[in-house]
Amino acid sequence: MNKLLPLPGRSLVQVLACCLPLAVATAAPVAIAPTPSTNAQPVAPVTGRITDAKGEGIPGVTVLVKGTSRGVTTDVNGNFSLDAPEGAILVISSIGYASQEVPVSGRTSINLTLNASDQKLDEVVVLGYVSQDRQNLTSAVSNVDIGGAKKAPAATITEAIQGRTTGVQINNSGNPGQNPSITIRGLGSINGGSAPLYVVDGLWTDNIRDLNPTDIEALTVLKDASSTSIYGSRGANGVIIITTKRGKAGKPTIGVNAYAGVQNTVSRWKLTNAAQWAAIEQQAYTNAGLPFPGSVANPQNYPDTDWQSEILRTGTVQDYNLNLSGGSTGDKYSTNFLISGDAFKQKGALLNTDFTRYTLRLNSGLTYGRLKINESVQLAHAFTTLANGQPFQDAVRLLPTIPVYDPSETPYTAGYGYGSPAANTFGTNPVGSQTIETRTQYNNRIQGSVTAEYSIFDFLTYRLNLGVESLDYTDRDARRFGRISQNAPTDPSFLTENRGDNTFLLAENILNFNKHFGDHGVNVLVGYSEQRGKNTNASATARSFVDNSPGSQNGYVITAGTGTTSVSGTIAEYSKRSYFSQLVYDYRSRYLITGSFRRDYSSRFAPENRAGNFGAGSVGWRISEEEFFKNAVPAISNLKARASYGVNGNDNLGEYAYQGVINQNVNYPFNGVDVNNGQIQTALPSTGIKWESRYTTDFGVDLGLLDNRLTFSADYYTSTTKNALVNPTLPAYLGNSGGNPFTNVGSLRNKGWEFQVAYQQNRGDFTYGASANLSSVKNVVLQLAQEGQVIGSGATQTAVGHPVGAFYLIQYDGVFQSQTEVDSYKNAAGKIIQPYASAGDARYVDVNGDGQINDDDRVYSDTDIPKVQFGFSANAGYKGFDLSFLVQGSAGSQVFNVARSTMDRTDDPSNFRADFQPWTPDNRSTTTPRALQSGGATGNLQAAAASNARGSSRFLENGSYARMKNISLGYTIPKSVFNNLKSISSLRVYVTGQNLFTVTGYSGPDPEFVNGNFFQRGVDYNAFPNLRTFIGGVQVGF
Amino acid sequence: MQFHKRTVVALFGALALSTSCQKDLLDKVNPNQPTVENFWKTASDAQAGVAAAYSALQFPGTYARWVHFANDIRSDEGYSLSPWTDLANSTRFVQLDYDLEPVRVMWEDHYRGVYRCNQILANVPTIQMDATLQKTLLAEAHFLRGVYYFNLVTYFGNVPLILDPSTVRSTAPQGTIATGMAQVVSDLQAAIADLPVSNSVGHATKGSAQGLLGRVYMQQHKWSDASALFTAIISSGKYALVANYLDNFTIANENNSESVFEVQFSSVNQGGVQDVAGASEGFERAQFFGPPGIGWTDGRARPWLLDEMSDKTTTGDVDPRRDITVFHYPMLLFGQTYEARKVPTTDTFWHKYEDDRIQNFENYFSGINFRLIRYADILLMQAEAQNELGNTAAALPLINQVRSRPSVNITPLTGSFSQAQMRTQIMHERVCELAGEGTRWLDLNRWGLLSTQASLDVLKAPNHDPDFINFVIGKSELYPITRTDLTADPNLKQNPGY
Repeated sequence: MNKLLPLPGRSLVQVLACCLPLAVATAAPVAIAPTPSTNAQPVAPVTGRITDAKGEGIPGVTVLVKGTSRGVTTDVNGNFSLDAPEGAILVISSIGYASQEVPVSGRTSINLTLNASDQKLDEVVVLGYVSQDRQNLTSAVSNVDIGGAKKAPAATITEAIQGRTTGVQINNSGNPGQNPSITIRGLGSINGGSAPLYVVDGLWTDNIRDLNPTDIEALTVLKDASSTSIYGSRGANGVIIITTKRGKAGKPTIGVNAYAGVQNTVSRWKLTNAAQWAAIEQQAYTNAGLPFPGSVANPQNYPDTDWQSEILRTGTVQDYNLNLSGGSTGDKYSTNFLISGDAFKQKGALLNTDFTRYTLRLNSGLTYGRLKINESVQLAHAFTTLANGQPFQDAVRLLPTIPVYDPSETPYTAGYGYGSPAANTFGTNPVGSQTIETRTQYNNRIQGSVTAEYSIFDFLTYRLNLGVESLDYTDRDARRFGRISQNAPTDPSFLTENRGDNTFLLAENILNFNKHFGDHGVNVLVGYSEQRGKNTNASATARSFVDNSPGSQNGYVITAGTGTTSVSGTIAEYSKRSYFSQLVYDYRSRYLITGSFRRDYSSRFAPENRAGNFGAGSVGWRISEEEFFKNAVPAISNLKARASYGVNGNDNLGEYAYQGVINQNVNYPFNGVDVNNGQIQTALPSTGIKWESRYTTDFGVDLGLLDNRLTFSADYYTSTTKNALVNPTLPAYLGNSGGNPFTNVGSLRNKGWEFQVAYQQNRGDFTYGASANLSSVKNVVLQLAQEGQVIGSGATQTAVGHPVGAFYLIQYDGVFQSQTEVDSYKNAAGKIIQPYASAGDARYVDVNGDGQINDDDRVYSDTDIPKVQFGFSANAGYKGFDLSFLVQGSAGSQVFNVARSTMDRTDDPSNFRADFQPWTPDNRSTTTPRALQSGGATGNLQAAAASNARGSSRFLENGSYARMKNISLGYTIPKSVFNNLKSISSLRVYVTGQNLFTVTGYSGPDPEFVNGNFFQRGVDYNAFPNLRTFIGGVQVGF
Repeated sequence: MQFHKRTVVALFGALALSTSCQKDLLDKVNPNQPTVENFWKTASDAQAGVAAAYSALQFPGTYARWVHFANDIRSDEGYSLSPWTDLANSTRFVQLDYDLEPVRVMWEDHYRGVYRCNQILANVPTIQMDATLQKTLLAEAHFLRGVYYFNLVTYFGNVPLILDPSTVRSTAPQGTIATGMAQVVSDLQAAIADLPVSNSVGHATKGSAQGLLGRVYMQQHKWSDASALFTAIISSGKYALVANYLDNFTIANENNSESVFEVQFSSVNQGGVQDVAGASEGFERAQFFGPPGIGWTDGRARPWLLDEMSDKTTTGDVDPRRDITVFHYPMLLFGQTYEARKVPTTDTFWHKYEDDRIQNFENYFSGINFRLIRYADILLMQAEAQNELGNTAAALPLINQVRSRPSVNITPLTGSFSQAQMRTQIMHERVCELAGEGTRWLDLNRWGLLSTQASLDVLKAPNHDPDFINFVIGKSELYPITRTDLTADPNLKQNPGY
């Protein structure tokens, strides 16, 4: 065996293909040179009409001379005319209909009726390394309606499929360039790696944001172990398989799609203006016995800033796509190609945020006898300007009496307004944070794959799949000198530039045996694969730029810095080796059995823990194929019962985690000047870690009625993650400075139901359909490191018997209405529980009865994980018009509203909600305590102010919502209208509205948001709300 | 294009031949940092390890930032009006959130220092190296662990005592104030035994350890033990008061003759994150205590200090230490008047350790060293120990030595003092000399002023420090133990009253 050179600098093929091909290729005994082409035959015109079952002509049907690129499409009445050799075979195909091949046999007129294809059941589903007819599936797999999703264009495919399938929870926000968070069948891991694996044309990837959604042909979500365990160590969180479009045989077609629209925040906080704000503050200071600061006393002498309006604007979105595709087929070979270019541009609804993405996709294929080669590659260039800090939180935190700009601000010259003794806050000017600093990300990403497949025999195929992902990026962070919050340190201006490249290489060798023995269908596959990844980066910071004029970023290059500099850089490599096998067996397409096994070795673990075994099995019974059933229940066209069980894994925790290392920059300036290089271990390693394994059981049933116009499917699953990689917060007394190390000690379970029902009917010119889905999930932690251990994180705590990240809070119990109530609020021993309180102060539940309120009184509240999520979509078409909508939402989740907890505390400076009405003797609120500033005149006032401000269950809200996700109206202009423009074959115009309205009881701007902290997914730090978008678009085919 | 069988076979065959398996595919060694197994082999490893243990003195939770709130702002010398209400409340003995960042970070960062010392004490003895250097380095680690635990026990009382290098699965028994202080004494005694009288600049010396242990004994009222240590320091002849009092608080003349131990800071780096190349080595106190318009003003000086520091010099002037310690009207605030900065004329701010002597702004990168133990403090502690031992007369020359520093020049005291009178005089002298230097919280405890309601009533007077209205005897002497650790280690018990 050859010793390979280290990365980089080797050819992809060298690195990746390994071991298997030699034996296979040399065993190939079959001649593959095609037979010589037949002699040219005389050509004669053939005309005809293609009609549907009702006898109406179908426009746009491809009629192709088999083996050539000669072909035409039918006109609006279904007529066609082309020249074909006498002995030719015509291939007649159209989307939504079953293709047919018709020998010309010397005829000059051919009329044909195409049958509508039974789309749902005839679909071929890509399942790991094999494809299967949907009707024979025994796994929990969702094919997402890409056509429906594309009617409402979105920046990312993740966003586009939200609400369109069961078991997939997607959370989005209005942040340009942000990929929505996605989890499949609940949180399968505690360590934060709960995102699914994406497989794009055979390439494994985690990065889907830069994929152009327009190029996607099909998207399949693999949810249960029988479908995902073949992905072994990466299958635990589900797998999303994406197939991109390819050219079709026939005349080359050109497609143009373009849309543009505007975006706005759907809702924002209604806040007090300066006078209203000051009135409440005056209560707070009066109650505390304190004098008023300047702008509280005299708000009329100060500005009245609406900070939300200052940071928000009307965003725009536009997308232009041009594609060219085609192909040819022949006896000797066939080819296909697709070139698709796209430009997407979004100007964010938040000041100085945007996202631009250019993609170019080149897909091509060649079939030559027994050899088939497909190639797929996308080049993407994406540019993002990010939000800085927490602008939405600052917009509610900053006082209305502070000006946006303050030209007299000295001596720091940035010219922004901020807190002062008269309007005392450390809040940051959000206009300042968005304009004094510019953070950008610049990505160049290549995602590509080449698959070569060779049929050794009709029943035995060898396949080599090579994949590559390469990312070059530059992140820049440039900040001018100057202050944007009161008394902040006057740090020098700086520029940080972080550049790097990530490379991922994949090679898979697969041998596939597929043969029918009478009634027995057998498909067996064995494979070997290697994966490698290498991420490198280098970062430099330069400070004190001479050119510091507002708005000027020109001088911001690293060498222009005149102050101190910092540099850093890292390299991370990983690799994986896998052996895998898959079996699919059916008896008369009636009894179905599958099995799979994968053994993975990962460099992320110490040698003794590297190997992991994963596998699954499933069975299915197509009851509707049984003769007795066909006779007994003819109305049911399809009925299938299925069950699966299996295990897959997760190694998603970064490189070198098991190795303890010495930090070489633990420095100290011994003489007060020169920095002395100290070295020591500062971070605890994840000693002894190994694979995390997720065991999933799934039971499902699929039902089709009315010739499958009405379909229904249901699944029940339970999945248990064992040896979960948990990184609980360690006691700080261990002195760890790094991240919390992992140990394999956790166990957690998800279980839930999934239902999907769909109906589709075509009646002449009128088509209509509807689809609904409903999923439930229940997450519970079964085990953590040691008895009694919990993982605390802010308002949440993760503990055995509760969901991951359950809220754990002191219970709010309303407002004391009188001193008598305070005095009589005692524990069993007669101790007054809140002796510092007065009428109007907050009351909390003394859960443990010890006569005081503290951390020991926290109780678990419900979780942020929705109990149920749902989607309902409907479509209708009449002649050229099409109308569709999607409603999507979730129920049963809780959200901790940080913005409200910030605004509703009166001891601390912030703006208030416009409808905020604290308790007063005249207005005895039962929900909102009195206004009370901190640092009051007495100890009791100080204690009461702090008590009233507690982050308690008071700020926990129901996060249920239902949202009109989109409405889309389109009109396909009849060909007759543009008869003069012969080159145009189809033309559709459409308008869509997205996130039009939301029904929710949540008081914040948006109950759907993204919080990147794994344990605080339900904590809303006033995140970037989803945007209401109106788009108009056109789709042209040439 | 013509494919032939031979072509295809050759193609795949070539692929196969060129792609044989790589045996070490899965062996990925971290290229970024050496592994622990390859460290602790040489004397330079030992020295680098000890430098890292010193580095923990610069954390936000140690001397860069938060301890000054625990020491100066929590005591009656200082107070907070921060718009960060939770921070201000924590200095007023109101803390409902047991994970409040400033307090939690103090806990975390001191234990990071302990972890480093524990690694040195476990690994350096196994290194083949110069025996004297080895002993010195181990003694420095003992000294630093003594510093870290002394603060932990002072702030949090019943802290876990972890003395071996941590692993993921380590736990430590919770100590008491008594067992914690016993550990501090043991570490400092080990340090005294092996530390040299003189060491490289910035490193601990025998005097550093003696001074700190003396401070510990003072807190325990072990007057003679303390006094013996102070005598050793004084008689070593190594230390002397600097002529210019101001030299103790500026970037000029650091590590001078008065310095018994200093935490080193430097403005040379302005990177933000700790323990990476180019990370800040800066002192952050000046930014946090700086007056409005300059710094956060999160901690202020109480106005009563002005009255306390009104002794007269031999030339009839007010004690010059007053203006060096406290900004007050009509002094200039970083070159501008109170009026120009729109600051109320009644406001007072900390002036010690501010950078206005060299620049007109503050940030997180002040280079002024923090003088953890000054010789003047040693002299005053010796005076106090002697007075408590009944040698009141011996206290007087020590006090006068401090009062008579050339740049201070307060009229020396004469006459005879009763022990009680001398005690009161020493209290006064310590404020005048040491206000804002982190000793007051220890002083209040040592003098028993936090243990009776009568003395608390004096402290909480409106013109002294009304924050003490919230002080609860038996509770407020300590901070609550951080919720993170109570959650992570179910065997830990919260401090009384919380």
